[in-house]
Amino acid sequence: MTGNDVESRVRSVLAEVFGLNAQDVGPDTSTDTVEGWDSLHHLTVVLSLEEEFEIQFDDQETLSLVNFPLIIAVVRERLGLPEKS
Amino acid sequence: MSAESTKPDPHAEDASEILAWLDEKPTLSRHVEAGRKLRELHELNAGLFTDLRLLFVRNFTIEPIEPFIKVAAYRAGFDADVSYSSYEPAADEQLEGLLATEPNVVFVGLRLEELAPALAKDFLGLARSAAQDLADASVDHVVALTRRIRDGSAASILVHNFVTPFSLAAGLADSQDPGGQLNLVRRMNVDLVAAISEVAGAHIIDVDHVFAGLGLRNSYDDRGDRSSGAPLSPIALRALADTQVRHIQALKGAKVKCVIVDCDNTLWGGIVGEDGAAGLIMDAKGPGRRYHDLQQTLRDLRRRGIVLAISSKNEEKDVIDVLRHHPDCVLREDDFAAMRINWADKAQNIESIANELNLGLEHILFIDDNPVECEWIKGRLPRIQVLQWSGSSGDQIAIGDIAGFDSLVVTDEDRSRTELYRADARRTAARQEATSIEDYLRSLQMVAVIGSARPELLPRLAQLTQRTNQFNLTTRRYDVSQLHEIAEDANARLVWLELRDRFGANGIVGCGILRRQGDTAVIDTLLLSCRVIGRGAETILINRLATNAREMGATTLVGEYIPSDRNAQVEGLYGRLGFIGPESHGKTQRWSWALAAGVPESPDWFKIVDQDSEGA
Repeated sequence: MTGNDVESRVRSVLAEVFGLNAQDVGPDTSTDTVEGWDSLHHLTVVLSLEEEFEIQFDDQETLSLVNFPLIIAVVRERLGLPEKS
Repeated sequence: MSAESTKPDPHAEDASEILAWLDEKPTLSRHVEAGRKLRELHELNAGLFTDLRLLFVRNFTIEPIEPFIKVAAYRAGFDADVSYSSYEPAADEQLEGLLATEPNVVFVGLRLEELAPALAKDFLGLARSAAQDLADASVDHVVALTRRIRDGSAASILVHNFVTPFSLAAGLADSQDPGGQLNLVRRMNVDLVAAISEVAGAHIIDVDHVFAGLGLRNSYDDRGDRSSGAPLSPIALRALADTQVRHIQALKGAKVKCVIVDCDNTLWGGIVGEDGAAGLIMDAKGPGRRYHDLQQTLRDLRRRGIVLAISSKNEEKDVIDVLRHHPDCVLREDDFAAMRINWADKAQNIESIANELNLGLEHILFIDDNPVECEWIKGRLPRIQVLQWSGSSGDQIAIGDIAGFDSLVVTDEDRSRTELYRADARRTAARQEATSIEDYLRSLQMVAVIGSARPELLPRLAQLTQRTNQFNLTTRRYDVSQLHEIAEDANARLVWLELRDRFGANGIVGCGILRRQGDTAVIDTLLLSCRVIGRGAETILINRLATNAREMGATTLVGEYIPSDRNAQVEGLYGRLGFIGPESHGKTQRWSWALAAGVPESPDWFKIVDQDSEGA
């Protein structure tokens, strides 16, 4: 799996959960900028990412998945992909 | 292909395309997106889905179920609006306010881990008697809450049972102990269903069984439980949502009322015309097993009230011989309400069976091993469900799992339905011998029993309002809890009619509802099961309702007729009986009868037994 795959798959998960266009999901997408990203929707984001990538986050990771760049970083780490240069 | 190109566009798509996109990859996030798109579609097309208001009365975070239950509801034709109680509903005085929003269905989902934490977390620290007391108190808590909801709402109530714990405090030793953790929860579930069955319009959802099917380990999300108090995994939420919607559909009774099966290579292995009865296989062991299993599944359906029929291209005597004499045959001649064993077109035979049994084609499931026959029937009779039987174990599960068979109550009439249809066939023969209709009706020696509704009869009466289409003046559908309200209402009357004759009992076949509004009493509902149409039995109900109306102080009796696709035959009924009218109010026709002049009388070929005056 390439880094671009991770990005586009995270994009489409966030787009589906929040009703956004995938191309509008980017570095600015975060709990502060997306309407409706409350604690319940956060759980939906976490469960959806786990389902999409067939991974399990630990409690600490769950709390850190608050914006697009952090999600990419945590997912890549979980998948054992190298850090983005 | 980029991910975004597969996203559904609500303006270009219909519901089935959105659902197909979801089914390609049924993830949680796609459920969220599909639910949103279907909602947009619903807003653009009023009436596409039926509005359904759901209320969760719960003690844990169940909100993540929302995307799943919304989609499951759309699949069943509903646009679901979901709301939630606080986390301590029993202590919450706002609960009545939520019930006043008139939800259609209330789910009661209380987790034992929250209700009695010690039972889950400190079981070995509890004395026997203390554990039993906590268990009893937990069951009582759920029952009391259910009764409170019943008092405050006309909704159907679906109560979750308790999920048995996966990790047991005593380990393997727990199962050796009848008073152990697992067995205690199992007993609580037995007590719960016994108590809930006493509450009108309340039913159990066996969540424990649903999660056992998935695996208890897979159903639990410990991280979600710790971080958000949301203990159910996505697969558990999805299975629960599907089950919940299936229960909602089943509230209306089974949609499939009749299964028509083929014989050769479906009911048994082999071809009776070529292999002879001795060459057929349907034994309980070996290669005949799959045929044996299908026959047993069909027999269970028959016992649940689903009528069986045969459509087979064969010599009739060959098939009858197998049904009568084959030692391994589970189903016998009298398990089938109708048979068409001939060389004619199966589509014609199916239509002819539907006519004989008075069933709409949408209520029929056809099972055949032959793909050509299946395609032919699908093409000719698109309204019937067709199942091509290959005999694999997946097919067995598919038949048992067809949601259309679900109903939450099996009535006495259901259990004896096949016998009722067979008695009808004998009546038809008697009718052909009689010299006139009246002569025939007298020869039946009919006894009509009539009475006011009692709680134990409400399930059957609800079933009649939901299933009856032809002899149904207003086609108003009621569930048990609504009928319960009518039965309790001092300004309403709910009466039933039972018929029997020399060929047997027909069971409860008629229902009438009267509502008084000042000087006027309106016949809100008047219906007869199609099996007894044409005998004049409706006049017994009208006579009784008119008598009730006079007792209630009404001076005018009004009969309503609301046209539907199926009830044209009763359009002029009130006119024929001497009512004056009609006056039209929109689609509704209203016919009047002045009660000062007396009440409509019923024909003298009935012996009438009034249950209400008998005991008095």
